[in-house]
Amino acid sequence: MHNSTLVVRNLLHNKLRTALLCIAVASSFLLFGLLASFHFSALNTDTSGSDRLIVANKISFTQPLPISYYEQVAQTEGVDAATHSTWFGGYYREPSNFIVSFAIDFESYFDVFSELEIAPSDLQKCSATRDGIAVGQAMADALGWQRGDRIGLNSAIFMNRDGGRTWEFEICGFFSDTNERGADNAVYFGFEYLNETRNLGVDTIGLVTLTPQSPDRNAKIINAIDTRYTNSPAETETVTEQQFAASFAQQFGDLRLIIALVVGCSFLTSLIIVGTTMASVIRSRTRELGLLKTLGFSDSSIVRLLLGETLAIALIGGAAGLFLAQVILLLAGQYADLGGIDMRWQVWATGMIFVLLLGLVTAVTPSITALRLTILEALGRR
Amino acid sequence: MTSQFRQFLAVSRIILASVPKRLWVALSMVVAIAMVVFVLLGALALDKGMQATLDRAGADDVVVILSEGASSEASSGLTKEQYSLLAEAPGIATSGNELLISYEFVVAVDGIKRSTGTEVNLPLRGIDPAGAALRTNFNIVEGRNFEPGSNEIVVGKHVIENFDGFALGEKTRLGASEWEVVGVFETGGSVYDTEMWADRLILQNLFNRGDTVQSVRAKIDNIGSIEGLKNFIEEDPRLNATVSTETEFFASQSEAVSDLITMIGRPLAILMSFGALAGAVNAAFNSVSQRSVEIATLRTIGFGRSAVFFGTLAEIVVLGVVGGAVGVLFSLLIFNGLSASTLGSNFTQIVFELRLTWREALTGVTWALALALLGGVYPAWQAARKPIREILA
Repeated sequence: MHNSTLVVRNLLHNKLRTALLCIAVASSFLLFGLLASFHFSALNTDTSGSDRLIVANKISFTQPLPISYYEQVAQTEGVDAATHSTWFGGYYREPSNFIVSFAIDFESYFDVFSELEIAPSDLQKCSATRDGIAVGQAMADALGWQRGDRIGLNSAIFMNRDGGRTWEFEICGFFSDTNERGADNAVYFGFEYLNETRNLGVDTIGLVTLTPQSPDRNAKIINAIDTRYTNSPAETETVTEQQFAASFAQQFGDLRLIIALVVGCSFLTSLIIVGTTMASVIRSRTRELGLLKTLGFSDSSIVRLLLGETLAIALIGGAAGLFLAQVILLLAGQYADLGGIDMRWQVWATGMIFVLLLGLVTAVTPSITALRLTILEALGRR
Repeated sequence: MTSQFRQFLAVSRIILASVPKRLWVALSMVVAIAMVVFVLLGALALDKGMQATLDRAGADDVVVILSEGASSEASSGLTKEQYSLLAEAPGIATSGNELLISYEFVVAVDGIKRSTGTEVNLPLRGIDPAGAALRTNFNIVEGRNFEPGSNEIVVGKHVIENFDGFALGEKTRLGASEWEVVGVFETGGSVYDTEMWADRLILQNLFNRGDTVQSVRAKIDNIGSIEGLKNFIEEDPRLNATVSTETEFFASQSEAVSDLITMIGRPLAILMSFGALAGAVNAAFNSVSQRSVEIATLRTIGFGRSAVFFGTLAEIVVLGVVGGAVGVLFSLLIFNGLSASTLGSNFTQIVFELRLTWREALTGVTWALALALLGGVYPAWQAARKPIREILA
């Protein structure tokens, strides 16, 4: 109780310095909040918990596979369920309004991607409607799309038979991502609709995704599929969903490294600044510490005082920075489609852990200085 | 003025000589500022390198024709009935009897990025015989060009240097057929150096493209001819296409990338600057409080307020410039010439070299100087203003 009064008094003693320290900490946690949100969302490669396999064209996953492969893969021994998807490369009105969009098989897709939740009546409606489209909850919220709306999406890849690039859809249902990994920032529509209307690539699909009866059989399944198509016009490469996602993210290459570098630099900077400032604060308070010791304050209570101060700075600055990051993302989300970037609880949790670490680490040197100090020295030094 | 200036010099010397007594605080400020400059220059180097790679690829006497509304090759598509009309277009240069025109498209094929060992998309471009000659500075550095009508590939220099799977002489299977890498080309470090080229007709067949292409490139007989070409395309309703010079085409692509990098890079540097600013103010206050007796003594023996003000500021500015210089030095060592790769507009890799010139270095040092001045002014003013008796009491 007394300790906390002292901590507050100490912090308020030099308001400018305290404010500056808080700003230094806040700026690096703001940075952390923004970059970590980006990391968790856009470059999210976390597919842990999935034991799915993905079959893609060996030349590159952007090359198509014949539709016949879907049935054949589904019947491979050890395969529990299979489905297929074709990247549509959609955008809404402007090319910059990029929409994650796939032509899929409604009958099987939501069985294989069981983390996606769709009402049975919605699913029924989507597959019964030729131009029916299922919209992810996050995307529906962001764009204000309602059931029954007719929307036009453009494809950056396909042309329809009239040479146009726009496809019309009717919104027939919504789905959500129970894993909360942002998979609901997407739209799905029926493969047949695309296949009947496009001018090129008819009867080809992008990827086949399958679930094995048990993950132990993965090696056998991979081998069976890939050898089957060896020396065929479309050879395949079958990998786990984790490998697939990781290699996809690797395409962005050095971007991730750069993000890590910036956050690292900024943390180190705020660590150094708060650390050295606290150390110099303690030195300037030598006499005060001597007085406290004379009054009978124990070593541990002095350390607690210092720790209270550094933790308070870290907490105030850190919380302010993270909060600001959240506000900025929310505001930015109102004006532009951020592609599902928002601050998840993981960002807050990791951030708060770093806050505590910062508070603890920066108290170390000042504490050592304070503990080494003898009363005689403290009161004598000027 | 001379006397005041001499006073300032004397005070600055005294103050700078005492910096080692405040080593840790001073050092933390230097490091903080160096970090800001490092991040800032990193962003600038990425931007500069990417721009240079894209700009180098463009020529003013080569036109790029895409379908109407397409901003990149990946989102463009032209049918044979459309692109064959272009053979009749005015203003296209010839060499002998051949029109210098190339119908092209890009597909992605897997290569292995050597530094990480992971699979990435590399662009394989189908071009016509005239295609290679349309690239500025094109020359074969090893082997030979591909034979039209054969399963042969030539690869760009950056592909050979950064990715596995397409070495000279290597045979690679694409679909049902085997392909041989017969040559290595370079185009002076432009974006084309991260491409592989093969015969368009063979590739269309292999990749089931029918007879569609994504873009048309052509040499025009003089720079003014583009107007005639524009009119020709506009007047024919079947040709739903846009034409631009290659320079314009790459400039619009580099604008997008460069916007992205500066839009991210500058705010990051500004954010980090707050931390560095706090470090600078702290270092200044620390110096002032440590030297309070000294300052009072100087004032008592007749040094003016301005000498104290500028002397204190000088310390922070010197530290700031040192921080800036350290940041620039590290950036030069680490970023300059560093080869990086990322996804380009065709959803395939672009290799580019990070690049720093004295202009960026100057920006870095200016930034450091501004931070130091901003951080030092208030503490210096406080130091100069403090009544002598209050300190010595």
